[in-house]
Amino acid sequence: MKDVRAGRNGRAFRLRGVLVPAAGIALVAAMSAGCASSGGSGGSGTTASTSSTIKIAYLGDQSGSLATTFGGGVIGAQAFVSYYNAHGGLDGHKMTLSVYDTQSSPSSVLSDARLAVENGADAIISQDVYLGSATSYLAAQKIPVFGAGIVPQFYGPGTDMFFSQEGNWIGYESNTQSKYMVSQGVKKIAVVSDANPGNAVAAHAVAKGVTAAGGTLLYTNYTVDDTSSAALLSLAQKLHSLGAQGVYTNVYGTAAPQLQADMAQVGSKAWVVAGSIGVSPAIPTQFGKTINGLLSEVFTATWYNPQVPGIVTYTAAMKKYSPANVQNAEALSGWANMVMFQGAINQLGKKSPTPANIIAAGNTISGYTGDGLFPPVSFPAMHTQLNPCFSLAQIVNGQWKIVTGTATNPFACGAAESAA
Amino acid sequence: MLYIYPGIVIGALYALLGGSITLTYSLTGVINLAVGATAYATAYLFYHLVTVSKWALAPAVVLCLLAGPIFGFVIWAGVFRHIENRDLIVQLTATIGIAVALPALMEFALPTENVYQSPGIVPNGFAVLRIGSFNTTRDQLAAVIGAVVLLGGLILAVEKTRLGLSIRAVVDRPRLAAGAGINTTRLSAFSWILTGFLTGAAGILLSPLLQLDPGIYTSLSVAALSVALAGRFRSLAITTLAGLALGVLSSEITGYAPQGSVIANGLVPALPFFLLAGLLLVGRTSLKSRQDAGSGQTARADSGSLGQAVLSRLPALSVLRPGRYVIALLAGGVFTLVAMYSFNAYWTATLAAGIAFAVTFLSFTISTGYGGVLCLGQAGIAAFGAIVAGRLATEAGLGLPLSMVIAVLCAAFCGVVLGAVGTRLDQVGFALVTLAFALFCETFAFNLQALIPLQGVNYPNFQIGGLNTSQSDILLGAILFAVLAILVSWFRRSRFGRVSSAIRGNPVEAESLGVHVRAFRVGVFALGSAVAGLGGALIGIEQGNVSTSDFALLTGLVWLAVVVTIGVRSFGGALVAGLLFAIAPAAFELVTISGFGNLPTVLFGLGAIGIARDPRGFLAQMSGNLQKLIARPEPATSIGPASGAATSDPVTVGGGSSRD
Repeated sequence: MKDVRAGRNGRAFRLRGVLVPAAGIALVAAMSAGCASSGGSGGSGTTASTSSTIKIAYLGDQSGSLATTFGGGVIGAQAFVSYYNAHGGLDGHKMTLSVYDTQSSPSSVLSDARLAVENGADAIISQDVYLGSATSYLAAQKIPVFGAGIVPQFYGPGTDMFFSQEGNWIGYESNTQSKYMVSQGVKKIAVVSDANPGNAVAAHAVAKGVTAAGGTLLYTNYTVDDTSSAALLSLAQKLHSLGAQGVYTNVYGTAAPQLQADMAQVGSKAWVVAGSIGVSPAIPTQFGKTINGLLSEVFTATWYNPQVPGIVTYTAAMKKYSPANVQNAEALSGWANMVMFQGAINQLGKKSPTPANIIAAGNTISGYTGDGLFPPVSFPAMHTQLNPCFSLAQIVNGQWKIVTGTATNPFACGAAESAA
Repeated sequence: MLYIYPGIVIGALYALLGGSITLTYSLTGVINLAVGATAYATAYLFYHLVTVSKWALAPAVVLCLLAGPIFGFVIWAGVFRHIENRDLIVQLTATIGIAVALPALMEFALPTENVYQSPGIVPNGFAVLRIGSFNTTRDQLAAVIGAVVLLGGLILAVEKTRLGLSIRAVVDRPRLAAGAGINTTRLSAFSWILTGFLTGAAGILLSPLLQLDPGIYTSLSVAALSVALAGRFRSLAITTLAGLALGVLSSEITGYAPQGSVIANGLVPALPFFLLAGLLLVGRTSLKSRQDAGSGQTARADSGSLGQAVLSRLPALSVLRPGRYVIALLAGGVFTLVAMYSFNAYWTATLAAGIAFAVTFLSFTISTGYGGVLCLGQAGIAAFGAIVAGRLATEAGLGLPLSMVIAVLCAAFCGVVLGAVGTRLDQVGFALVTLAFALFCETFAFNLQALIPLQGVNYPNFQIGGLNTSQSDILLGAILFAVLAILVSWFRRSRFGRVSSAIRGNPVEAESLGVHVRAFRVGVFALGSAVAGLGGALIGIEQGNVSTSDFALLTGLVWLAVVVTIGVRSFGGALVAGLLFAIAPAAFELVTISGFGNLPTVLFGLGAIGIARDPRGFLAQMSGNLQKLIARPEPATSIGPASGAATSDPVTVGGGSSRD
């Protein structure tokens, strides 16, 4: 479902003498600066809180290799805070949002989590792919985390402080995509993933779901080399020669649309299903019409569902606070994580928004949809169970189109399959 | 036949990157591990120009074709001009610095988001051309034709022209070439410009075929080492053919291997590893740097290198005389207490992480600093220690102490196996073996759930007495670091240490005196590996959970860059490096400028580049500067290449050091 990954000649003597010390001094200076402020506010954008103010920490990749993919999430979270603060807060609670740059590094995620706790965060918003390195610490600190649960460490005993609208997808998958394909006459289905354990396990569950949905499991490969479209081309050739009509993929980054383009190249009309590519308009723009047929699992309503109340609010907020990012899939994802947090605050009642109270309130959420933004979620059940519903978007004539559900409820539900 | 063309496209990718490595080595004598990073930098610039800045394709292509040679010239002028007469290990370290710094520098300078697909050099690159049953996209065709034209042209230029002959003469016989009136400096610059051109062109030719991710470019360039090795880093033609063969083989296996078979599931991703390991074991590489060629002392280069060079000018910091033990222990004790009690929880935990890294980095001090073995796969070894200790402590209930002992033994065993293989080769071959090991971990071992569960490896909560976890981690780390530092110091003074010095000074003579050089090297490498395993376990204890992302190939290279920057020949260097590695990102976290998080990586990379030009390390350099200030009336002693001609650089191989 989700990708888990996760130097001059005459001046040479001066350069040699300067370069290394400069680097070292810069680091020492930075360290000193950091130590000097360690007892102060810390974190960017943190402000003093009142008793009813909720201090939220956002942990995400604002720099490093993953920033190009996930850096936009913070935009949605910031818009959410600005919008609701301007409207009196969440149930009367104003919010402060501190942004922590996890630098695309596991050790920085842990470091940031500690800094957030040190700075008194009441809750953390994150779907960082490396959040797993901080889950033990956050569990021990009893700090609630709201995000699309993309790390395996979110689930299992003693993890009732992690809230994901997708539920437990580790070892489980919905067969919604298979049901949809079969209903459209796409019955010969292949299931592939790269060797990443998280992706491979989810793909195993999808494979089981194909036959349960009435399809024919044509081919499986859980160690696909997805580092280049060239490597995927031979896979496309193989799938075409087998007569595949649909290909479910759980692969890294943009490998799914690349495979779709490769399928078209070898003359196949098979649909490729992407586990987590989202519905950014930049995808068809950058790939062109060669990826017509590409399906993407979508875990929230989007701007393609303008009648969904949750999207109406999102669009209004983004138009006001970040108009250039209304159709930014990562911004929407960041917003949705905040809406999940909102679900817990709604359950607080008159209790103060401390971490313990937020966790307790979160575990009373029942049938919450965030005004239709996502399928119904309930806790504590979803600490262990999958949310088997999502919508599907498909690229038709170079444009995304939602192909499941209705105008006000774009979601379709399948059965949860276990990889075991 | 179905799978041959897809294989050729994959092969073009290997051939271009492998060709860049081969061309760089054959023209400059440097094994360039930064080929992937340079190609990525060009591809990133191309993406930014076309997709973000909306340039037309033609001017963007022209600019990026110019960017490659410019990168090449800057790398030569800023780095390799000053170290071209150093041994291969020093040069290899500099390329690691570039590999670490360049991608981060590009992302820092040209931030962007929503990267999905890089453009190619031809318009409508996804458009399919069909000729009978043959089909290709314009992008793929451009990559294949581009590879053929570029590599074919360069094969002719380098192997068939007078210019090519002169360039190779400068690499093979630099003194003879200079004596024959060849302007070696100008030809060196030209060589780097030429290799920069090929790497840059490869970057934009491959950009539509690869995801714009520095990790992918670096992993692929490491994989491309295997095809460069097939051409013995010399023959562009053989490298090209090996690249194509690897691509076609990979494609054929994908097409015809039985579904679900071990071959289909395990072999394809690990093919470059098997090729690299096989060639290293069968071929017994013997690679020479320009210095080696100039001096004709390959065997001695093997012994000397970075370790020898630095050994002759060890700073006082690295050697603890007996009288200073007490002072050092007292200082360490004070530091430990300050770290435990003087900071808030965030900084206390950061320091705990720093000490865990410091112990891990001690493994470089032993293997690389004292043993003279450049280990590029230390992260993989540390990972095994972390995984074994965590799983035994949590799942088998053995308790942390026993689990850590077993983990250390496992890591040591890993070191013995790698050492037994690596010591059959020369120094560079050994380094490549460790790199192959890291590649194997990344592409195969780390994906085995039997080894690493999906949820990662959890560690039990660790507390000593009434201390909190971070304080306990600091205390444990400090004690282990102190014990190891004392052992290392004792080791250097022991008979074993003196034998070590003799081997580094001249292995041939040492061998003739009855010293078992190979066994010694295996022993030192195993010792370093054991410490890496211990460090991995400490990282696990400190984090509470470890997963493969904590020990990625690129992470290991960054570790090496940091240690080499600070000082690889002293445990003080390991300590400061470990602390900086944890503290610098934590400090930069407090900087509110978006994208600033790339800066520590850039600085670590630049530091490694700088340090390759003066391998004593930052600490020693600062110590030297301090000593100069104190003894100002005395004329400064030459300590680097800038003070004179490169050939008179005291950082050369051969000759023992009285200080050792």
